[in-house]
Amino acid sequence: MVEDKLSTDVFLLRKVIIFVVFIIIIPGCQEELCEDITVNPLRIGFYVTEDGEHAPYRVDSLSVKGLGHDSLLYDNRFDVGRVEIPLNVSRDSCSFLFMFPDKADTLKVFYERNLTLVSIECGFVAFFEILDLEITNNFIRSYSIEEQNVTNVNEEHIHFIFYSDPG
Amino acid sequence: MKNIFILYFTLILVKLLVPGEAYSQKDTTYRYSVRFGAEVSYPARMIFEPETQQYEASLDFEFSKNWFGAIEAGMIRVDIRREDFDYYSDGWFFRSGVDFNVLGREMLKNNDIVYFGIRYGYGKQVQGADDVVVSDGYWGTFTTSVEKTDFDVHWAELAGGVKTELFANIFIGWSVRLRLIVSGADLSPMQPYRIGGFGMGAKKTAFDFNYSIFYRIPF
Repeated sequence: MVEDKLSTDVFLLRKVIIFVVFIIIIPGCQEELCEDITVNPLRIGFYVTEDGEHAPYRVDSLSVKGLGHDSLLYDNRFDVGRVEIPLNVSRDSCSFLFMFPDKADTLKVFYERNLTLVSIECGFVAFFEILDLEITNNFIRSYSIEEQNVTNVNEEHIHFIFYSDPG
Repeated sequence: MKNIFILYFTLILVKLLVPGEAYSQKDTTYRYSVRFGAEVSYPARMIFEPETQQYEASLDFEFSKNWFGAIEAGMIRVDIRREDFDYYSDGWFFRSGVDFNVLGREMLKNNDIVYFGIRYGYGKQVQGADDVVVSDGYWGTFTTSVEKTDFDVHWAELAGGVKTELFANIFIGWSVRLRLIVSGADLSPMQPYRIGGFGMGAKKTAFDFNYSIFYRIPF
């Protein structure tokens, strides 16, 4: 009788253990931090045309600012081959002034904005689709759109083609 | 996806229509029964994640020796408030499928089962976001909202677990689930944060543990 009682208790205990062991595995509290990129700038690479190919080019010095904005994005930076500039999330277009040593060019970008919930930790991020560009040709000869979608992928979206013999 | 459903329902239909092994009068280890269950881990997880509320109940019945039909249904409510957005979502889900008991019956009194099964899952939710603030770090910030939209998701699921009789007709059990979305939830601009009955919304696959308490009504 005592043995019966004991074996029933052991049996019950075994079952409870099976259950409890797995309860411990319940994922606990995880305070996660944002590890994603939350600003997606427009990336412009500088090139010249050599034998019909785009060859990397570096300008001696450069300042960049958003038109209608006081502060500079690039302040007299030397030896620049690529820039990253933020698009305005409040509007469907924005303009930038590129100031080279002797000359200046204006770039206007037209785009579509798509807000995306990247994650709960990071919140919403703006992705863009470039629709069109307008550019003056004082120092920059032409441009090409290499990637229309401005997302969190680290790649160049636009190539600026400079005159091979500036001046 | 259509093919998966057809295959799935064909399997169930075949199993329901084909009688399988005939039960002799002497086979006392088998009797029809219905078991109701309440999922207990979701309420427990609310202690750690109060932003997600989820409840689930289940019903399973042994329609043929060692073969169980299972229906699980529940609801979800997500309410996340952050400085730069308020996200909300709520909806319901169900899963249905078949489990097979691999343990067999060791003895008359032992109603424990160790099972493997398949499920088809479906969830329907609405979601939206208010006071969304996006910054580009230069031009300034932009405040907007994401309109309330609804979505539905279909998934396939593999299940494995244990149901053990603690007291007469009272069972406890755990199960592991491997889930794969076969349609839906590919949403722009917001991936659902969490899909009820499935798991995190950003991935096509989910792995889950469930713990339940059951009451069996023997006939």
